[in-house]
This record gives sequence, structure tokens and C-alpha cells, in this order.
Amino acid sequence: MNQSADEQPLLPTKLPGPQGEAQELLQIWATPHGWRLPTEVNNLVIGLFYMGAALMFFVLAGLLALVMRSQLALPENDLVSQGLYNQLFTVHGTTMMFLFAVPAVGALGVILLPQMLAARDLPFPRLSAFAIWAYVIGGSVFFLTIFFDLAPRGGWFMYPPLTLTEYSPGDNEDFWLLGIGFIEISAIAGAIEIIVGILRTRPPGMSLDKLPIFAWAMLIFAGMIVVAFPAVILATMLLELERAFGWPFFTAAQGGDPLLWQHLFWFFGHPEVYIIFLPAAGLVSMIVPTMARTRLVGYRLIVVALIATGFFSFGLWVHHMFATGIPALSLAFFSAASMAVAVPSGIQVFSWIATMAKSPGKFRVTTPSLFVLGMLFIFTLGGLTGVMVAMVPFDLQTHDTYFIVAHLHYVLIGGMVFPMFAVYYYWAPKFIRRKLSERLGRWVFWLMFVGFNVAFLPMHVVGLLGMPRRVWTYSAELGWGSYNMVSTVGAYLLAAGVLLFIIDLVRNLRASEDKEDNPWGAGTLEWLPGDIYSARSIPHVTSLEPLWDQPGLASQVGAGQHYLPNAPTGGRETLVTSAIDAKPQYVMQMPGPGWAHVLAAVFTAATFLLLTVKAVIPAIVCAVAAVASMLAWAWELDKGPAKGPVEIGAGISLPVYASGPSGHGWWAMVVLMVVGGSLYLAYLFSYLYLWTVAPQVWPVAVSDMASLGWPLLAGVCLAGAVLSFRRAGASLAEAGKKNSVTPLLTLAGALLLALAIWMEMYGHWQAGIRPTQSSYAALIYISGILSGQLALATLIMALFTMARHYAGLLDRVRRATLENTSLLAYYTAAQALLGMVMIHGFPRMVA
Amino acid sequence: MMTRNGQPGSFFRTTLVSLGGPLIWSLHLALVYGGQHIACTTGTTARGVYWWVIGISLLALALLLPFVFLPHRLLRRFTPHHSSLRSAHFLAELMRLLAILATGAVLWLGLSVFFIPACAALF
Repeated sequence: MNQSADEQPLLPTKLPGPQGEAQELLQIWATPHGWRLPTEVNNLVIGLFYMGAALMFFVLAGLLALVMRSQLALPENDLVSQGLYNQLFTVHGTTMMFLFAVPAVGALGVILLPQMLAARDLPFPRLSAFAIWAYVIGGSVFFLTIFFDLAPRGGWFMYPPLTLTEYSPGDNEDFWLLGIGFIEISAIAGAIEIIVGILRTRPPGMSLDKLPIFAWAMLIFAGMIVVAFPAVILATMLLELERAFGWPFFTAAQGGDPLLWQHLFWFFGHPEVYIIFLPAAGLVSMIVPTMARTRLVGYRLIVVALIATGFFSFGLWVHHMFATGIPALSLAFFSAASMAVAVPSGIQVFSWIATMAKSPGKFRVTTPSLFVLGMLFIFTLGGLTGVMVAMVPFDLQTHDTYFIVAHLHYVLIGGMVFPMFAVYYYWAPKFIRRKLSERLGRWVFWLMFVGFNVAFLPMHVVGLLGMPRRVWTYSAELGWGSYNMVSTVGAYLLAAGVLLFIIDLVRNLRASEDKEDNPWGAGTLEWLPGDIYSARSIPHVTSLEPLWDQPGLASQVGAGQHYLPNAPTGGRETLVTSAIDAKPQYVMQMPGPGWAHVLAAVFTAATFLLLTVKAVIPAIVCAVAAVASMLAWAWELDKGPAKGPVEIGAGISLPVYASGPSGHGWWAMVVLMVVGGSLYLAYLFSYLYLWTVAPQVWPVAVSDMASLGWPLLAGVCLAGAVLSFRRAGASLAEAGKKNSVTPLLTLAGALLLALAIWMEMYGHWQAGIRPTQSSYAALIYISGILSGQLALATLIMALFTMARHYAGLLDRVRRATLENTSLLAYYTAAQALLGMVMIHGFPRMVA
Repeated sequence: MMTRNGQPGSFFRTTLVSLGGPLIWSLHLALVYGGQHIACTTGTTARGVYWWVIGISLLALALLLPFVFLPHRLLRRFTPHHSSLRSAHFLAELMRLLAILATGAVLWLGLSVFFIPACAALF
């Protein structure tokens, strides 16, 4: 670097800049057309596709809701059968939660974050595209099951024992378990992308205290996904294994417990509410200051509130289990946490109100503002009923009644759907080049606001009158008919609002050239002039609202007078900066369009769907094809340092490659290990929980257990694996040379890892322990499966690393592939070792 | 692992110490609930449960105190090149406010032991 990035940069650069820079950017970032369109990875294109898909699922799930409301409008109605009604509410809830809410928020992250951070794209564009394709394919197949009587019937939370094979035969429940499990993996891929994107691709100068609130919210959103989703992935694995192979995790007669499912599901399910709400709250925190034409009141407090809500939301899961007979003191712990979370939520609401009050002129009441105000009203009411149901005695009265249906819709529609519509109206000019109609927008708002309250307010009353959830019909004598009729009318009004919005959107989708860069007069970077490549140049940021505080910034950026106004490596690229203070570190070379990630998504989806219908051999073939596609995709990622260093402007020169802890790939691996750690912690919780529930199926004597010789041998192999990878890293040859020891050590390390896990499992098998015997036996094999799948991934990555070595693409500098493989190997060894200590040590300790 | 300011080692330490308050609250909840659950299923006395909850809560409060009163010093202690961080003051204040919220939550949760029986269910 010629000039230190810590110093005040020499910006803006002098005009005129070199000719043809903008044209070069347009050419490099051009979207493929025709049949090659699916190969695109640019965040604007795939983000809009993602958003469109999420909106489609919202409409589809809404249509199912209308069918249900029509059925309930009259007592003893027979519009749909009881069996179909069960499928309707299951698919409605599942689609809204898994196929609309989380993906819609993720889509906003994909579209908006690079714009807000003035990055050219998120750091792993193909990973984003893979996650989106996987979601669209998997989600569509899941939704279509409703038309073939194949949809699950157990409710969106799929409680066993109802969902065990004895009570739910057929493949219906498996479509939920494998389909949703697969979609969660896609959400985790998106979360990794978002975390690394926010931490490493901010514009120079945007230290954490200048990070837009939406980016903070998305960082916490993604962090919560990384910790929460593995719990439900483990739960779906366990339930599917019990359904398919009879491993008794949830069968009380063999030491299982249906409540284990509830613990795991709600450890994910309650944070899920905040996973949906926090980004929406972040968006409101972006819209309110613009409409109030003043800075957000209490920026620091809002960041604190977002982080605190994220943490506290993990302490609430048992409040969904107040009626399960858990000791009163335990309920009190979670009741306290449930009420405590209201404090940070309240901080945000008061901050928005204070910002509106502080407005120097009149707060602008536009369509986005109306949706924000509607959100404040509805979400606050939902929050208040939330405090009511956080009190155990009240919850016991309203448990599983329509009061809860009303509460959760007030929270979710108020906390997520209304802000989402505010977003559509607010950011439409950025993405479809014109504002949506203000006149129609007001109609949309009032139809939705009135319709929503007419639909859901009476549900509080009918719930208090005793109407249970999920009933197909009810007797006229119960007196619930008029309330239900009103709710149904409200639901249709709400739907009319959504329909009007779609009409307005379609009307405005026609290509338009009348783009205004910043029609609301906002202060954040997404309103900078730009094109498909995001901002024309990457600005140096000195405040929270750069467009308000740095006069002329928009025109300077548009004229290419800030960082990276061109494409010095000749390909797609963006700046990587340090995680806390956003100091420029290197220029990341990014992949462009390709088919490999699309094929990987198609084959991965096919693998899961074929497994669902028990077509094992075709599923294995698809799995192999998916892995091959992923390897083909990964082959192009590590581009090496040859094109650098390059000039990025203001006299700063940066390398174009980084490995080890500085590299963005290393960060993604670390986040992936956190995912693995969360999954394994959920497993350890399950192990200890089932021991407390059914200690009688745990071994009573050491002779009932596997000999210690096997785990000791396995431990030696694990140590050998770690040493092999360490030596492989040290043995890398100079650039342009090869070293036959490196690939051998890499392969040896991966094989030792696999051998260790095989030995551990074989030891149990030798001792006569079979996973179908009891929950204890099933749990010890699950540990091996969890570590075994990581060992398999390590082996595949090791073979890939060897191939890169032989192709001359791995050396002492260009070493990211080996480093990432080694990281996974170290983590796998640590997890396997912890598992062995637990499985062999704990029963001996308590026997 | 590199530890220079702006590098991962520094980042992870800074993040951990900044989130100290909520992390202590998380551990407190896990230990209190886990301990009480195990104690109640293995037949430990109610007095044992009370002292467990009180002890863990007092420990958590003691650990939270420096995060509330000395956040700048803690950040300096755990973050190399602290003085060159542009966002040091922001992070320290973040740490303090998070710790205050966590203190309230620990107190709220811990106090319940004085009002509710240790292991009895409501029904």
C-alpha cells in the first residue's frame, strides 16, 4: 500500500478519470440473457428473483388461509374435508414461516446489503445463487404436495408422537422433515454469506459505529440463524431416523421423549420470530429517519436493543411449553426471560416515536410511512398480548386457543409483513426505477390495515370463549359463528389489499428510464448513483448518513472519483476491509455467471426429494452429481495473487489475494464451524436431556458398554489426522513448484479422521449395541453420524486439494484451499474427541 | 493467527468482550435451568436447588459488574491496539448497556427462586 488507509484519503480523485471505466464495469457485470439467465449470480438479479419467489409463496400461503377462513366462516361447514384442513393449516404455517418470512428477509439482505455497503456484490455470489435455487426448487415441490394429498398434516411444528409413523403413516410428514431440513441448509448458506459480507465488504471508513441499522439487524439475523437453525436440523434428523429406521428418540417406551422434539424445535422456533422481526425492525429504522428528515434517535440504544433481543430470544423457548407439566420454577425462569425481551423491543418502538417527534418539519406521511405506523400499532398490540401469554397462569387459560392465533399473527404480520410492504414502497424506485403509486398505495394500506384488524381482533375474543386452534369446524351452539364470519370478511379485505399491491407492482414493472437516484432524500449509501455493478465507485465514509453529511458525495461517486472506479483485475471484484474499522485490506476477485452452482442446487434438491419417497439409489446418484457440481464450482474460486497488487484510487495499492485469517474464505469456514458447533451442542443437550428423562436405558455397568480400547485407538488416529494436516500446511512448495509430500499428508489426514470415527462406531457395534434398542443406543450412533458426515466432507475436500496441487494451483502463497480443508479437519477432530469423552465418560461417571 | 488490529484474532476477542453481558446471561440461564432440571429429576432437596440458583445468580452478577462499571478498561485489556480503534468508545458503551440489560435479566430470573417451589409442577 503506497498510502496508509488510516490517513485521510486523497479523495475525491481529480477529473477527468480514464475513459471507458464505466463501460468496462457494465461489460464485466452484464447480465446473461436468454437461456443463460439462470447462470447469473449478481445480487441485484438473483435478489429480485429471490424476493419474487418469496412473494409468490406469501400469496400462495395466503390463498390457503382464505380457504381455511371460508371453511370456518359458518358453523358445521363442509367446504373442505377434515383431512384436507389438516394439510391446509400445516402447509400454510410452514410456507409462511419457512418459504416466505425468512427467505423474504434474506432476499432483502441479498439485494440491499451490497448497495448499503457500496460493495459490488456479496462475497460469495455463487453461494447466494445456490441457496436461492435450492430454496425455489425445494419450496415449490413442498408446496405442490397439497395438490396430491401428500402434504404433511402435523401442524407447522410437527409434534411427535402424532408425527411418528404409527400415527402418521405415508410420506406426508417426510416431505416436511426432508424438505424443510433442506431449505434450512439453504438459509444457513445465506446467513454465512451475510455475516462475511457485512463484516468484510464494508466501504473504507464505515467502522462498526457507522454501520447502517439494517446491516446491524442483518448481522444479528444471520448470527441467530447460525445458532438456532442447527437445533431444528438435528430435530428433523432424529424424527426422520425414527420414522425411517425406528431409532427411538421420541418413543417413551424405549427411553425417548416427545418433549425432546419440543425443546429442540422451540429452541429454533422462538428465535425464529425474532429472526423475522429484527431485520424488519432494522428496515423501519432506515425508513423513519428519512421520512422524518432527521437522524435516528438513539442509534447506539437501537444497536444494543437488537443485540439484546437476539440473545434474549434464545431464553424463551420453554414459554411454548408452559402446559407440558414442567416444574413451576423452570417456567418462572422462562417467564422472566419472556418479559425481559419486551425491554429491548420497547427501546426500538420508543426510538422510532422519538425520531418522528423530532422531525424538523412535519413527518412525511407517505405509503411507506403508513405501513410503518400500521406496524407500530399492530406489533405493539401483539407485543402486549405476548407479555400476557408470558405469564404462566394466563397462558394455561389460552393455550392452544384462537387467542394464540391472534397473538402470533399480530406479532408476525405487524412485525414483519407491514414493514415488508413499507420496504416495497420505499425501495421500489431503487430497483424498478420508479415509485409505486401513492394513491393506490394508500388504498393498499387501508385495505390491509382494516382487513387485518377485522380478521384477527375478534380471534382474541373467540379464543377467550374457548375456541381451540386447528379445528376443522364447530357447532353452531357454541356461539362462535358471528366472530368467525367477521374474521373471514376481514381476511378477504386483507387479501384485496395484497391483490391491489400486486396490480400496482405489475403496472410499474415495465422498463422505465425516468429513474431518480434518491427520490426520498435519504442519507445512506444504497441511494448512490449506480448500475448493475452497484455504486460507480466505492466511497470513503465518514458518518452514519454519508449522503447528508458529505456534500457532493453522490456526484463524486457517480463520476468515479472514489475507490475502485474500474476493474483493475479485469473481472468482477470488490474491496475487502477489516471487520471493526473497515480499513482496506485487499481486492477480492469474484466469480461470474456459471452453471455449476445451478446444477448443484438442482441435484441437491433432487437428492432430498428422492430420499423422501425412499428412492435410495437415484438419490445417491444425485448426491454424487451434486458434489461433482460443487467441486466444479469451487475449482474457479481461488484465483491466486498473480494479477496484483492493483491501484484502487487515492494512491492506495492493494493485493488481490489473501489467505489464512485475513481471507474471506477463512471467515466463512469459521462461521460454518459455529454452525457445526451449534448442531453438536443441540446433540449434547439431547443426550443429557434423555438421560434425565429415562436413566433406566443408560448402561448400568461398564460391561454393557464398548471397550475403552476402541476410543483410545480412535483418539490416536484423531491426533494423527491433526498432525498430518499441520505438516501438510508446512510442506507446501514455493509458487510454481510441486511437493509430493503435501498431497500424501492431506490424504493421510483425511483418512485417519474417517478411520477414527469408524473405529468409534465399530466399538459400539462390537459391544452388541444396536441403535434401535433404546434412546441411549440411538444417541451414541448419532454422535458418530454427526462427526462422520464432517469426516466425509473433509475427505472430499482433501481429494479436491490434492487435485489442485497436481494442477499447479496450490502453493505456499495460493494456499486457501488447504487451509480451509485443514480448518474443517481440526474442527471435526475436536468434535469427535468431545463426543467420545462424553459417550464413554458420562455413563461410567453415573453408572 | 494474526492479532494485529483489524485482524481476526483481535476481532474475535473484541466481539467476545463486547458481548460479555449477554454471554454471561446465557450461561446463567443454561446453568440455572440445567442445574434445576437435573436436581429435580435426580431428587436433590429443594434447599440444594435454592442455593444453586442463588449462587449462580450471585456469581453472574459479580461477573457483570466490571462490564457495567469498567467497560473501557476491559476493552483495553482484551483488545490489542485498542487506542487505534475508531469505534472503541462505541464498543465500550455498547458493552456497558448490554451488561446493564443482562444484569436486569439475571436479577429478574434469579429472584423467582424466592417465590416458587423448587421442583413442584403446577398441575
